[in-house]
Amino acid sequence: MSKIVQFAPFQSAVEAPLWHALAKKKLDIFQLSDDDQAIIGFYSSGQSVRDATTGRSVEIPPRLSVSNESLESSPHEALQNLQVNNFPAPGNLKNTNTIEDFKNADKKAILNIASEKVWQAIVSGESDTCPMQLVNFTILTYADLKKHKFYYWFSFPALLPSSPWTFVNETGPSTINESFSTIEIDSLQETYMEYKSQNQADGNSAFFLVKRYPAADKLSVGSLAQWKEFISSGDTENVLLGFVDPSGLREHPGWPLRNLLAYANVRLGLQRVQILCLRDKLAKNDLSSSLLLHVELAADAFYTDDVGKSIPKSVGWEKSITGKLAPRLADLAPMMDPARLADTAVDLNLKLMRWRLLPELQLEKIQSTKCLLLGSGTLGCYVARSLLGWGVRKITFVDYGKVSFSNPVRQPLFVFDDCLDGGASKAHAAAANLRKVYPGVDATGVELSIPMPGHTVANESKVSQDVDQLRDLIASHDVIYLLMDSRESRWLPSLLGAQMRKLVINAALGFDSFLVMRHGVRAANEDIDDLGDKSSQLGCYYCNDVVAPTDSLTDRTLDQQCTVTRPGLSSIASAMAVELMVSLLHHKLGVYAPADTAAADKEPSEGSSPLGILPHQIRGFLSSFNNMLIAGKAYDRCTACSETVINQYEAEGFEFLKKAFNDPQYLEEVTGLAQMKRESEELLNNDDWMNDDSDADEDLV
Amino acid sequence: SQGKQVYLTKKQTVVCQTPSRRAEYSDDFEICDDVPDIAELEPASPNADIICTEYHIVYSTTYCVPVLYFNAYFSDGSFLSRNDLEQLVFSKIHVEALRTNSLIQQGAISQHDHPILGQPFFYVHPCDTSALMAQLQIEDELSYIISWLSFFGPPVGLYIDPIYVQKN
Repeated sequence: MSKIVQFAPFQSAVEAPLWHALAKKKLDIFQLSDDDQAIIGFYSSGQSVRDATTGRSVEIPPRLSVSNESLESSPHEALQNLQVNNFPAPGNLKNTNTIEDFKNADKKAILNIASEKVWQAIVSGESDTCPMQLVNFTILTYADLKKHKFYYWFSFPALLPSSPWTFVNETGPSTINESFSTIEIDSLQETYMEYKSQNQADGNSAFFLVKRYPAADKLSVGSLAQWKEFISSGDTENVLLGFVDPSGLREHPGWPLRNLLAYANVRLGLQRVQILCLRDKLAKNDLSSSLLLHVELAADAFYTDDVGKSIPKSVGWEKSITGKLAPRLADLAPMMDPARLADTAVDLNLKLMRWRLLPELQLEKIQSTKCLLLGSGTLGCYVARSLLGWGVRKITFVDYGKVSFSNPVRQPLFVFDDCLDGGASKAHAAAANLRKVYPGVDATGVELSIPMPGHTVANESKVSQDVDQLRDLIASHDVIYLLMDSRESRWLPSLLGAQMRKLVINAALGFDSFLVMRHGVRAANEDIDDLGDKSSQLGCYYCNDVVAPTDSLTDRTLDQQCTVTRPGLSSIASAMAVELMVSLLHHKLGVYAPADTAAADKEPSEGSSPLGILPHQIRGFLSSFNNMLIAGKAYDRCTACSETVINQYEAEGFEFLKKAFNDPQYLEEVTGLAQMKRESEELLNNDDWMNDDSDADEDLV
Repeated sequence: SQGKQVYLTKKQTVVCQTPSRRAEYSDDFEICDDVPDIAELEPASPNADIICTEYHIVYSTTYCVPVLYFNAYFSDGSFLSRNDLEQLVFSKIHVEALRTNSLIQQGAISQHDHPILGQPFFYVHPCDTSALMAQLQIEDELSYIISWLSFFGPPVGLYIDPIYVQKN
């Protein structure tokens, strides 16, 4: 049984600039035309490369490359500009307009057209002087310019004989060293180099003839057109067909040989032929990796049974990376889509922090933390910017107001234009402008008025809806920032956040002082064992109060209504609030993390944050450029986070809230604050120390 | 008169196994080939792809040292991401060090517009190159480049052929 010659197929190699050039051409020139575009591809001699990790030699299969020059220059220019070690392949690019056109294109027909070109070049004699027609190829493409994706399919037509070529002897290809003497190889190298320098055009240096003169240990090289001349002396056994072999495989010649053999059989009338697969080691003019083949076609085999009428069968569509007969897809979005470039740059920047300084940084955790910003004023804008710097991707702004003319100078997410025409919605403008800073952020604005204690419910169904909406927002986010400009507006989100055990971070500004704190969370039943006793629960914003929040906004003078603060204060407080969150996210206990109060002599406790200590409250004083770290326990009569209030809310829902909104005294009653006040007043009234004059001073002490 | 900007380049090929995510879409487009062809060689390893790596040596006027810029592409023209580079191109023993500053003093891999070509390229940060090179005794410019390249090249997959260091 004769050994069949197996050819290593071409693999396509596209250089990225081709896609840029194709995109540009599509927009500027092709538009909707799907006419063929002539292009020049190139290939080079087969190589082995050394794998750096294993040290082993890896043989490279044949590759046909196309780059932007293939498309941008005329074929003539492209041929002129071809590098010395590259050999030309003429081709056609057909760009379809829709993905359906691409999918439904008649692949058989396209291959037949390309094969016909090769066939005609052979039978007409054109390939005698222009043998690069033997490596004619086609690319079918579809460019999705919105998504920067390029579908492509290469076809390298190879004409098929009715039965395959086989090796004359059973062993297969022999190396050049096995068949030629050293002197002959040297002679070949010299002669070929000279021939090549004179015959670059049209692929004549890629397909050629070699004649051996064994007596003189010499070889000569000529073009295919010189065939008659080379065999004129009669010793055909010393004439070989040579080609530059793009295959680097020891046992297999490359694809161009298929059509060269068709040429040998059909044009030169050969049934048996010797082939030189020329392989130039790294363009050093070292031909020692070249192979010699002695092959033949069965006596009854043919390419076509009717040379005049039909063309031979052919194959040639390139298989996909997974080996299927399917196209390939180049996804260039990461490189071409500017939004993706921004993603990569921002991501890399954060990673550098982790790589260089803090390997324990959990960037993914921070990035995926969903943040709800209640209040889109100075605090809201600065908090959003800091979150963006940490790579947080989901930020929701809630505010009921419009941007006013005094806002942009202090609230860095607004610009002058947002103030015009009555002022844009703060929540929506903040989200839109945040997206302008970084398009990859998922920023939303919600116009919502937060119901407050001491502000009577006028429209019950509307307020109920607002409560529900707020509830949903809190439930769907991980961290709730309270950044409003009034005390009582923080009550409802504090209650809801406590009930849902969310991380609530509160920031409040005075004229030149600020408070940034994290609300404590009561342990869920399943967590109690891990966290110790309940008395370690930290307090919330209202835990230190003995009065319920009440209406502080109506009947105030102008200066009391505007929160006037030193401008630098809000950015300091906002940044602190965000960094507090990030530190907390790194603590093993999360919301249950105990409070640190001093940095000095602090042994990092187990599970503590690698970023440093984790305070409960930070009070900052700009007048002395000083911060104080304070810890406060949860108060069991707190109007926002005590068990009493939460249980009452869980039991009565909106009814409970309505009572609180309409009458702040109600909260004091429910929590027992009112009772406590009555008791202390009674204590004061019942004390008879006013009646006893003589011992007055002693008792007072 | 304006000076011409030049840079040195080297291209090389690397064979690798592609990450499987790169080939998920093709089922829709697959066609049947009814022409049997036993003469086509089956690929030795499925999912193998060939990566082209490209290295540029560009002089940095800010740091007054050469800087190694590089990129790598799959056969479809798409760029290798930083993760891809770590898996497929960078020297395995250097991957961890390249992320921190322990290998090349402050050196780390960053991405930047190529100073001459203007396209995004990865590069090895040069901030400590001059201190490093000052510790060596360099005779001439060629030796400098070869020594410099032998430090910065291998961690990012650029191996220097011993022939460069042979005296000739």
